[in-house]
Amino acid sequence: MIQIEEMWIEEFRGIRDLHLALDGECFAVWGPNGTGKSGVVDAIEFALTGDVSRLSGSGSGGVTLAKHGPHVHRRDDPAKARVSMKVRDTSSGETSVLTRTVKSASSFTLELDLPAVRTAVDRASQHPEITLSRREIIKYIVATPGDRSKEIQALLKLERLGSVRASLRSAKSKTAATLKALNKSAEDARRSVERHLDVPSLLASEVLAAVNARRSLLGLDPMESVDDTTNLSADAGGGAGGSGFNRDSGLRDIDALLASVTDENGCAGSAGRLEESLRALDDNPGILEALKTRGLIEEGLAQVIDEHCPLCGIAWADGESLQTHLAESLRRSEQAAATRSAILVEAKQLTLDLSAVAGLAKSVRNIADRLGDARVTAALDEWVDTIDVSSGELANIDGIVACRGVVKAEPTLSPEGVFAELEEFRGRVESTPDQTAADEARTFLTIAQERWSARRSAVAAERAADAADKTAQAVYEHYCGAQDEGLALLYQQVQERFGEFYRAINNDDEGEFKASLEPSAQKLDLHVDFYSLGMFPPVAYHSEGHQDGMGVCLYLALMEQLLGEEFRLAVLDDVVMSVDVSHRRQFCTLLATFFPDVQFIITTHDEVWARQMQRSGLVAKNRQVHFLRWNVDDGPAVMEGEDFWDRIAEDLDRHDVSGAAARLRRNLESALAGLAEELGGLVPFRAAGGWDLGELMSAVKGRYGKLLKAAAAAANSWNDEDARERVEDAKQKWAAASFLQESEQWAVNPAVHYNEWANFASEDFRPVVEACRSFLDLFRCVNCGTQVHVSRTNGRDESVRCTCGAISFDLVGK
Amino acid sequence: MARLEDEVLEEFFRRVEGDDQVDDRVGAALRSLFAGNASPKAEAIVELIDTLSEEAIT
Repeated sequence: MIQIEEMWIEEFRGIRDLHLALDGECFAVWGPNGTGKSGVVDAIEFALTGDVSRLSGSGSGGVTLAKHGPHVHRRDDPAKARVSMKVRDTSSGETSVLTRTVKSASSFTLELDLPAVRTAVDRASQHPEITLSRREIIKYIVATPGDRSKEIQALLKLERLGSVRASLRSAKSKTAATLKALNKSAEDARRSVERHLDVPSLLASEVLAAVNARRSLLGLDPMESVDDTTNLSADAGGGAGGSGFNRDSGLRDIDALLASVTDENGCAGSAGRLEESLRALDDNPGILEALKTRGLIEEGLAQVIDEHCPLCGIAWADGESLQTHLAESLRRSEQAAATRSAILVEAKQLTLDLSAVAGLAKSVRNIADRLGDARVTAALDEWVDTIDVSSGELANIDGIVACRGVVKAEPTLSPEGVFAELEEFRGRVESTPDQTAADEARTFLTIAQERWSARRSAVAAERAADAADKTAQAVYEHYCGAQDEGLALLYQQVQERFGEFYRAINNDDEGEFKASLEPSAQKLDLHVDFYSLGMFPPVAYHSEGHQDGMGVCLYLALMEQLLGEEFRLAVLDDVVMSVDVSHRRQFCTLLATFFPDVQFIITTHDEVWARQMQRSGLVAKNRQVHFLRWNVDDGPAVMEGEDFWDRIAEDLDRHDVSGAAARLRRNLESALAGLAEELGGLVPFRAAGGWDLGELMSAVKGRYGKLLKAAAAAANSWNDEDARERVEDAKQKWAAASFLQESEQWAVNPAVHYNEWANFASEDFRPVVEACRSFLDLFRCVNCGTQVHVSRTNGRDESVRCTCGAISFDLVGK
Repeated sequence: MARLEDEVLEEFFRRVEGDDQVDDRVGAALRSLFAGNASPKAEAIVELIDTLSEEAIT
């Protein structure tokens, strides 16, 4: 994986020329909406993948990277729109500068074409999910179980698991369908033998009785046993003319064919059930159309972003009406899918019954051919052909609908007048001269053997199909078992980490939080604990802010699973804007403590959140950029992160006391506002905020003094000498710094007019700066660089501490 | 997540090969099929199973 050391953005999206020094560390981009922050996110995505999902995803409405990627003033010059990033391969430590232009977006260049870096960039390019927007996180939380399963499996790149499962399921269905057809063929073959032998079943005794009666007439030894391999016509002769003609058997075949027309267990019954299933289309003609357009509607519904239909461009009254319309269409198509399935089942049964009729027709056709009856032969050939063609049509809905009328009128699809022909033909067969007993016996045995062999083949095919079906079923079940167990384990790990992360953010009021990710079929149910009152879907009771927090936690748990130790870079694009202020510190702590090796690049429009990232130590002071405003000609006006003490020193070196004083006061107000928040300092209530330096200073001093008193009392109650000494030391430092600060505060009092600073020399002002700095340093840990804060549990102040714990005063007494 | 996919496939092969009701050759043939095509189509799987089933019957 890679991390970003530096980046240069030129003429890309809303940015004209911007350089950012990230140094592989967490970095914040903050500023009001519309100042170009997302341009940085787009630039990172573009540099890594050659794409900007916002310009190519659903709802982009004709916007393309090629046309709209360059800054509007450079829209005809895509070669000028470029993003370069100095990236470091986290495995080898090697660095190189990657450059990609909109003109050649599909490829990138490396200043030093190092194989390790190229591999790392290629790897990163396969993971666009390292960029996360709020729209993306919330879909994991508020999605339906089916959609959530798809989204999460897509994020985890598990689509192949689903596609393999679908292939195995389809294979199982195909073998089952083949088995069903061959069951029918074997059954037809069995009946054909029974009909010819004129026996009620193929019990060995029945078969032997019929066969041995003819063998006796031919003077042959009786058979004592029979099995599939027995030659029923052994030693009977029969010549080269094939099975020949056997009148009684032929008459039974003709009768069976004639009876098939009205057989309720055959075509008549299955055609009736098919017609019944087709009536669903009559009751709701739109179903068929909905079925045809189902896929299109699904795509369209996903792309609705306003009142314009993404499929046809027609404008609706509002987007909600359009979505309702498409959802209703989809619902109708779901009905259609069920109807389609029912129709296909009945059509398949009719196909099998027609196949039996075709088998009978072929038998009779052979008799007609043997007797030289060309008209009947032609009629039966036509019938068999019609059944063949129609069986193909009955395999799909359009074909079924097309031949519905014919099937309804004549379920066996017999040509017109064929039954009259058959009745006449039967009379002719019946009136054929009597065969000699020997000829009758011989033809009986040869036809019996022919059908016995056909039955054996049909049964063998049925057995093979049965074995194949059992194998396909077992293979599918083994895959499902392996996949379900694998995913269950994965989701269990994800749910545990998800819960752990969420508790880390919300330990003050949801310390017992737990989550449950339950996979079932193609769904993934997410339930979360709500104040130990039960497990519910996240949207049931949790606020939008909590859902946002869950979304990020789930994302982090998933990324941890997806990339493991390679999870080293993530871009969070305004994803925690709904998280309430009191939980943002914990969120920063979560990122810093659970993912110390991950470079987070975080954008936000919220200044409080931006400062929180800095105070918590997640983002260093010089690893942020403040976008002040934006205009089309210049792009964003930025103020890069800086150590304001250095800037004040520079001001004083230039003898700009006014500038130094203004900068000091502005930054003191900001720092004290943050401290007041972290410590719980009280200021006079004002709906619009806007406290002055004196109010903030009083709030911080007063609160910190009380906290130290409480810490001393707690240390005394526990008789903890070490704690007592540490608190005492802190109190002395606090007193000294406060005294110094108070003695110099007049110089930065708002009442002091700027003009008065003009009378100051730089050296006069330096002690003021040092006093203020010493005061603020009281609250910063020299180890981890973070400011102290009050740690609370269930609304109770528990300790004053920094992030690493080097500063830690317990507030709870015995 | 290629790792999970590989683990699932390996466990799948192991279960097929350990199933007394399934022809021993099926597991090996599936391994070979998946080695040549990460996501084989249903038709290829059916052909493989049909062939081995017919051979087993005859």
